[in-house]
Amino acid sequence: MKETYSIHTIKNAMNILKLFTKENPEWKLSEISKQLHLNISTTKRLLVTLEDYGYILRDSQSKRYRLGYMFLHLSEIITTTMEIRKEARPVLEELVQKLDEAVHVHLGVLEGTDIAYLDKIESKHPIRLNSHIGKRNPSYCTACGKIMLAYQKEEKREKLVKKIEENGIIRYGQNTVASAHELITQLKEIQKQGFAICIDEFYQGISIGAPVYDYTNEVIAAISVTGRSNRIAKEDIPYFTQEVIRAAKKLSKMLGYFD
Amino acid sequence: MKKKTYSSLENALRILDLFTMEKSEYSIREISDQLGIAYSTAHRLVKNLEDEGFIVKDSILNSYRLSVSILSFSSVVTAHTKLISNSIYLLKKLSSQFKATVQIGVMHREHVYYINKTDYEHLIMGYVTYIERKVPLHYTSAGKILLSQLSEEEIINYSEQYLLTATAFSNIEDFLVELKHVKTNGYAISADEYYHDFITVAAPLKNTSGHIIAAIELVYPNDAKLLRTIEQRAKEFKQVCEKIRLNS
Repeated sequence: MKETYSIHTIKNAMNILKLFTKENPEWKLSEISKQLHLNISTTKRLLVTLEDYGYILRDSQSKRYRLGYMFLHLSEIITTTMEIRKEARPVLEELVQKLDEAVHVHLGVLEGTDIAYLDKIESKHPIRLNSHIGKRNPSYCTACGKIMLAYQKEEKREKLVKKIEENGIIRYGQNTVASAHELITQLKEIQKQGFAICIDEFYQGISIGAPVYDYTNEVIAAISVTGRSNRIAKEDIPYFTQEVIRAAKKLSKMLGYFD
Repeated sequence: MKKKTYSSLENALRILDLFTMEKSEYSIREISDQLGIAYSTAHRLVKNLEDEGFIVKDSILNSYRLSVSILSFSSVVTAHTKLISNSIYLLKKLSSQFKATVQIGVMHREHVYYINKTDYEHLIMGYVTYIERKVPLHYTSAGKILLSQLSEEEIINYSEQYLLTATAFSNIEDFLVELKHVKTNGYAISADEYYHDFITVAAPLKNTSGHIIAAIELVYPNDAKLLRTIEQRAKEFKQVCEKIRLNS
């Protein structure tokens, strides 16, 4: 009994934090309690603890809550220790400049069965895409994600695909894979060819990805170019693919990989 | 001393608190040892945090690190903290004027959080590694400035609770005297205390209504020659900071 209670406590607290977004950066106690269907005293208690640890701030004048500075501290640890991000910046910038289209360039790493974007650069002609730094997307329908799955050791890959299957494959786009079996077939193909192309697998978009290796010969990240299907001409795909591969190879070399 | 008991949520947050730039990965065993909680409890909390997307398991090392997802929270903080966006130009200016890395620190509970920073590139030549964003108040110059603004009672409370961990001040009296000096002088200097590689100098930062809202800190590599003239530099810095009014 006590066990389930405490699990809910953590979940509820984390759900409070997840309410705060760029669009809705401030919340009142009553709004939070209503939104999460928690009573006022429970909500208040969670907020007090979150504030104690620096995750939440309360404006004494407006009585509204916002996210605290603890996130700046944690983010600095992530960006400083994940050195790849620093190394990748110029490579990503060069890639986006070269393509000069309405695209986004992403640097993705695998987190659980999701792909998480460590960095993102937009072209001069920005388009609205469902992605931002820190965003997690499903791995089975994005180019970065498929790359990361494809280059795992076989045992690990099977485990991940099994987990994806258990969690349920959602049809985000008209071409999203329908089954774990189909996914495995595609992953084998991707590993053979060295790149991944997803067309209308995650909403109406095209994404093209390639693997980034480090000095241990492991694939540690993926670079991808993403654009809307109606903005990337089919005949441009081979050129885009070639440039993404080139960028990924360049970054791999900087990270000490020799092929 | 009475042992404090923590709620599940507090223990989950204490796990996140363990991660630093020097140690960014922890196994469940290490977490249970560090926090003094049972292995099974640590395991359960880690799974909760993993499910919520705050930490991830590194497949190779079998240890846990902070999740990249946290970056989306910090981008909300950065986008909606006026003191961050409004101080960018100021920090750049001070950095080139004083030839130092400059950062803004604010107080929350017993820590100073450095919310914005401009690096002075020429000084970061190899040996200087990194500066944590969250530091106990009495460890740094900015923290001393912020502490010195509190009432005497609050300062004594803080000292009794946290000062025992400090290496720089052997007793509370010394520390209280130092803070009095900081308050009268309007600047603080720290060398060799927390950041062994740095000398830091800090002064208060005021908003447009004249209230102290933060501390600005200069960070220099530790150097004997600089140390001899640091008092003079601190006075100049204080004079410059006194005239600043930042909209926040």
